Amino acid sequence: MAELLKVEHLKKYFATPAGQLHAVDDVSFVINKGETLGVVGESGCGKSTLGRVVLKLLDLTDGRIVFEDRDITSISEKDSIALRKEMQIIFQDPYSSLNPRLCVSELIGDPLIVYKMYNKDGRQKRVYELMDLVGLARRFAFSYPHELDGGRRQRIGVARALALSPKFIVCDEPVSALDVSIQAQILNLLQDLQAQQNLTYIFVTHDLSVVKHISTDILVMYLGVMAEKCESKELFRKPYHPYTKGLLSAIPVPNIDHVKRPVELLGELTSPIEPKDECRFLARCKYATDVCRQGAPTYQEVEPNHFVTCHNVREINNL
Amino acid sequence: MMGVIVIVYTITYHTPGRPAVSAIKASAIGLNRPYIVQLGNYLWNVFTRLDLGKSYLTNIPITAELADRIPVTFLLGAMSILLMMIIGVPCGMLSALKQYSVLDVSLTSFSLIMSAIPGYVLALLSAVFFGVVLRWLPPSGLGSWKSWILPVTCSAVGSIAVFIRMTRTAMLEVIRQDYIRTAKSKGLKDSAVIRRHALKNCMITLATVIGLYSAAAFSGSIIVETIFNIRGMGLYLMDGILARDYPVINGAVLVISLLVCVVNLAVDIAYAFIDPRIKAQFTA
Amino acid sequence: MSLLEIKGLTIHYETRESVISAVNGLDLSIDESKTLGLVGETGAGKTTTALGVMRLVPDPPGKILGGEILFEGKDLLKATDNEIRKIRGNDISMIFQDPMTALNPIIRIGDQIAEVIQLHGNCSKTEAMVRSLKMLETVGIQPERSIEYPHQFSGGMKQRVVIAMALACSPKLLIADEPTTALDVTIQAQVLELMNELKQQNKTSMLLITHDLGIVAETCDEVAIMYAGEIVEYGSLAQIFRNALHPYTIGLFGSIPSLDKDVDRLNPIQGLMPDPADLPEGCKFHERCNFIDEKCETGELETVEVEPGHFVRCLRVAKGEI
Repeated sequence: MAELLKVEHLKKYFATPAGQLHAVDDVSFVINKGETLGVVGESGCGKSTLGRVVLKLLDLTDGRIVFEDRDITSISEKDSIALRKEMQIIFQDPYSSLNPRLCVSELIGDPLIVYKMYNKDGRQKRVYELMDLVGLARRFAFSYPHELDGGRRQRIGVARALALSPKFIVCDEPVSALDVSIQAQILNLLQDLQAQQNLTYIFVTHDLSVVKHISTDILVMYLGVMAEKCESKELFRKPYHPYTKGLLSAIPVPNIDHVKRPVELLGELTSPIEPKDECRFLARCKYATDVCRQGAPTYQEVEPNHFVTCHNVREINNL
Repeated sequence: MMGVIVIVYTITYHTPGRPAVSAIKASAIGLNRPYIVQLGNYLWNVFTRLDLGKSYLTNIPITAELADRIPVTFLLGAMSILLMMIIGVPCGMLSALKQYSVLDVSLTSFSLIMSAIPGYVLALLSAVFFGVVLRWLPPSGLGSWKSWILPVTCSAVGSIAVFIRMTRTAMLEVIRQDYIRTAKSKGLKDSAVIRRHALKNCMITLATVIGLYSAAAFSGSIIVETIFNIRGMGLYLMDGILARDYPVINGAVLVISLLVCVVNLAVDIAYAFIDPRIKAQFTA
Repeated sequence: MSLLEIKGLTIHYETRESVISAVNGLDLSIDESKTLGLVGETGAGKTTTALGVMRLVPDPPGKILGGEILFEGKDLLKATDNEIRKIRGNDISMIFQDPMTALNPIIRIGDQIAEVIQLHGNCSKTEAMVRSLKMLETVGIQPERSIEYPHQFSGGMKQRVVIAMALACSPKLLIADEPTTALDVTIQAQVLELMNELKQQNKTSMLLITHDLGIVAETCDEVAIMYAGEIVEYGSLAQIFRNALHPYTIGLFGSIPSLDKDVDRLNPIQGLMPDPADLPEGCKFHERCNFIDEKCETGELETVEVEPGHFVRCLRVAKGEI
């Protein structure tokens, strides 16, 4: 399958009074056309920053981004605006990411105006087309965001992202603010659209069951670094990284036959500011040994297409 | 401070109309020299010798004159801020706690009306009414404690009105916070909830307002002092403006802005004492 | 006898523009040292129910219009303000959803815990403080940190402080309103484990409000599913998870992406929750239900006991048609 996006050694540091905050530290991956890369992790692990850097909504500190065989790491402002047509984002909070003074049809049509596509009638037609596509009844065309509920607002967000027919969309926690029944509706919508238009997604979320449902591959992040990456189902069958194991054991399962495992992950996230040269997960890892203190582990392929960043991965999993 | 001096100096310098001095005297005190040189001299004198120059009219050093007048204005301002807090905070709190009650509606309307009346109208009317018609209080000058009542009240009324509404808003905001609900769920009495949990948090918001209103109180002194004929900085400034006595204007404005800065600094320091989150920023 | 029994509780929010029917004739009961999970979506009236039990529904605009809340046989709705204050924090205490805002930002956490102990414990300030330190230790926070302020703690730690505060007077009933929703999964697991432990030690009953069926499966004995201010289904954990009968409950289960099984497409409930200011007649769920007939749109509903301890509020289930 053709690769659409390639990210190599991506780094994003933020300057803080206490030093450099390593939000994204040396992340690399490839996404093929029509596939979904799920990015999971706890708050503060850099997953949202990653999505934004890939879209060049934030400048990167170091690394390379290749989109459709074109290096877009340091393209001009003009080119990067043109690139927006191809790459879009859906935000988490459907409440604050929509301008409250614009009505639904203006919100969806806005990107069309910015890129001077269609004349006025054509634009309205396209807006209706998009509304049909995302399942928003046309009678809402002139409603304002505050008059709509969260699910419909998120549909506006989806329609707005689709307006320019992009190839690639970063979905940044698109269902986290929604109730389960509405969340399921939006997930189904995103899957249908992907099938219809051969879209490629990066799906950023903290919810493992959602990410398993929608992703082809999953990247688990911890404090800015890649902990583990592999095919979606494989991750749930064979979690190799101690963090992934802990994360999976922590999810409450809505099944009373499920045997509850004891809590594996103790403590809390450590600081991402000026991290020491050691394994970032050290403080919370129950398998930690001396070697973990002597340097950061490398990202290695332990099985075909299954990558783990852990010194002791083979010992822990008897590989 | 530097900015304030330069701006005010520049404005007075470029104001059309000649200052109140004869041509001979003008050249004697250097008014014929270029603007930049004059400004430079002025700044030099202010910062190295705390010398604000002399009045064109009376030839009295401005620093000396201000030293007499600052305490009066400061006391007037401080008392009106105090009055604003003593009346404004309880009224605003009552208003918030009994939201939509008769008390709330009447307090809110009172404060609306009061803030709509311009200060000078109120000052004039009350001087005439209490001072001349009823003869209860002296209408002008400063002497016994009685003579303070009208000026302080008049300069405070406008800000009391605003302060009531500010307190009301701040209090309403605070009592809707989750931690107030937590406090109630502990079984505390309403009065204890307000006293222990709401009041201090409310004061954090209000501290900013007090800082802002100190500026209003000091600049409001111009009107009040003029009407009640009080020898404070406001009156001095007014006289200076009327007589085109530019060094006086510059000096008075400088000192008033200095006062405002000092009060705001005091408010910021007070913040750190009330709010541990800000204290942490200072110590970190 | 059950510790808490709610009968026909009705709470409305009345504003000039509209009347929001948040809770409509709700029945519930919790037995001693049992945990009841109250499950529903945003706007179903879960939090309002909890606030009703604490008599903390903000008034205005909230009004408790009817019903009974029997706590150890005594109707809380008829209790005087003084009586209810003695119960709050002492016999019944509450953990709120957002630990970030539930603590007073300018009071040291040790003092915040000591406050409730001193209030109900009939003890001196020093003794209250000593017990407050002990509570902190119980929830896994070093007692030395008692002089710190809430902003110095992470979200999970703040929720531990809130739990310490709620359990300080060993209440008989703990109401936990989405206690872990604002936390990350790994922290959530720690906090849930802590709550379960303490609950078992003290034999505390709990009303756990959540939207997460996974949490329910792990912590509750009984489950009540709430929709538009009513309990639509109520039963033991096994009854609800193995034999859900109400179409809404079935829909909720269909909406959750599963970790165990591989499902290609979710089966969500269509449509949206009705506007609580304008609830439909008949069954409140009929607009979203796949099994309706005419009677659902107008008919009077009753809650029926389909098997011992398993109640469902649905016309078609009642007639044995589903």
